[in-house]
Amino acid sequence: MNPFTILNISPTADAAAVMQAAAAVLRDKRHSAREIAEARQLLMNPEVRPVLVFLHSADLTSLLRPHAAAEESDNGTTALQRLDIFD
Amino acid sequence: MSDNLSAWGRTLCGRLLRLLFYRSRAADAEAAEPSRLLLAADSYNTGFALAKLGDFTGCLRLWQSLDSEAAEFLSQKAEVGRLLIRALHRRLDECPLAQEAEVSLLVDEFALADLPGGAELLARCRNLRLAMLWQEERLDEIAALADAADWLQPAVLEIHAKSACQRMAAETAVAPAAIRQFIDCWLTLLFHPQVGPQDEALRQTLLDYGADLVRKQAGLRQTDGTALLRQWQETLALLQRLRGLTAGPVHAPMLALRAGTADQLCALIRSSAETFTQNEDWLAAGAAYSAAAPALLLIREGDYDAAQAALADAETVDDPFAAWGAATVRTACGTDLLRRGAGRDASLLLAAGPVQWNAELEQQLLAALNRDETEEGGRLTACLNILALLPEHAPTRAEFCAALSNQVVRLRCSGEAHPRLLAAVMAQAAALNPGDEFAQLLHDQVRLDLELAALDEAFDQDCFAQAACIAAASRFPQAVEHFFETAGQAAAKIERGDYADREAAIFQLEELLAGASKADAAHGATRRIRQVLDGLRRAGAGQ
Repeated sequence: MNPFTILNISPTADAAAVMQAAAAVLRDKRHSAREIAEARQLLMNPEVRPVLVFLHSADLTSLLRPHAAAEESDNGTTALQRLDIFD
Repeated sequence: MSDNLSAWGRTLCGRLLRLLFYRSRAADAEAAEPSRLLLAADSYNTGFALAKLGDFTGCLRLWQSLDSEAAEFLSQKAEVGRLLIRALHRRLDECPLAQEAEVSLLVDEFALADLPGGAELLARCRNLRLAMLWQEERLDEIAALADAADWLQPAVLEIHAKSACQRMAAETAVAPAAIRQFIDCWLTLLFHPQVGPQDEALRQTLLDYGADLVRKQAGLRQTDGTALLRQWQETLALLQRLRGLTAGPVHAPMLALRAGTADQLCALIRSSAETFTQNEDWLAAGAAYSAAAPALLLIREGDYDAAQAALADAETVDDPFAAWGAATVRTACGTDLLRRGAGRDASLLLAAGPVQWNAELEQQLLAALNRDETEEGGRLTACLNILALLPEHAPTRAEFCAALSNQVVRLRCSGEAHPRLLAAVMAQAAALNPGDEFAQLLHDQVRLDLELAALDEAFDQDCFAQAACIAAASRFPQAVEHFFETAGQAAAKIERGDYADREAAIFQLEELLAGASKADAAHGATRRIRQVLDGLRRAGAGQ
């Protein structure tokens, strides 16, 4: 169970945001009240919270980084020359 | 100026005409049924037109039907593949997560991974897929990608470790392979300088959290729970130690093999011998990353047969770490063979190279000794061969002596084993614990049994000289007495006329007398034999 996903908040959300999110999610009825209550309790526990933040967050920047290719003006087809071997 | 404009116009017109030509060929291709593209030239030309228009996938699909091996065609095909790789990168740049699946399919379809830059595209697709799976919390699918993961990338390690941990926390009973994977990933992550926790208190909290998860899973398992806990403790101790030796990442042995950092870590340990207080700890740490590492990991998984097969690879390398690892593997495999009742195989394996005596091997050897013999002494002989390797100052020597003695008493009473085997067993038992009086007495007893058996065997074959030699050399009065008693009976048998040929009877008696005289010339039985012999000779002379 990922409490951040259940409450739809980021790992940096403070206690007030957690309370607010729990109420909002409860109204949405996307999760059971039990799941929401458990998620809220976990995130309000100062001992457990750092573990959960570490466990459920990951820096994906390096995985999503754009390809570092040399910019080319055309699509690279200029150098293609028709071959006559099939004629 | 007007000439320039006219030249520019001609070039433009030419380009436009070529473009129209290519477009018309491409349109023809779309309209035409594949069956109509019978001619290779048509396929080539249409594909070329598509490539010129930037449709590299369409081009390569058409060219796949051409079986030409012409170098210039293959080169052009590879060039189009390279252009496709570039185009696919651009697609991924525009919409990375949405395009990944289709790009991966195209990489497979055109075997782009074999082209320059293709491996990079494939790696990028894997990374994007991993990121997408993480975002969508598809933990099982992340675990399925572990075998092909690039463990050198901190973000890849981070995602695999955290998803493994989440699975451990969420699932009731996790498969042992997944638990082992979790231990390796989680511990490697927690000591990673880039993606691990930067705060020591948090690291300890996360270590405790991981240990709780492993303990919980180990508690659910009947057989290998202890092995999993041991793996956690050993890997933790190893990484804690290595972390003090380098500022770089330290992978758990399994991940180091996959990431290709094992040699580097092995070299680090080799150059840090002075930081280890015990030589054995240094060797064990180095062995975990040496040529013996694959076999050691197979032992960890309980696959002893495969580990034994992998032992040869470790032993061909001249390296103290690999040698230490090989000895560990041999000991574990030998112990397992003993556990499975294959004592003979165990003795052959253990005698083939260095062994590390440990409590588990001794326990299995004791168990094997205490088991009922079903192999006509084969297992007992195998155990003796293994015991011959027992270190001189092993504290369990007395225990082994007692076990051997008990087994000999049992076998002697049941008559299941030949005295020769029992004598060999007791010789070893007595040597293991010279202070054990019971063992020494039993040793004497089985030696006497052996001599009595040898005497009977010699008399049965009429080998009186041999029997006499045994009696003469014996230090047991019972054996000597047995010799004379049997010799007297043999003489009486001859006297009764059991030998039809008198010459043969005289010859046998002469031999018997010579032997008896050698053992004890003054013995009553010797005198009796002489009398019988004299009587026969006299009777012969009278005829």
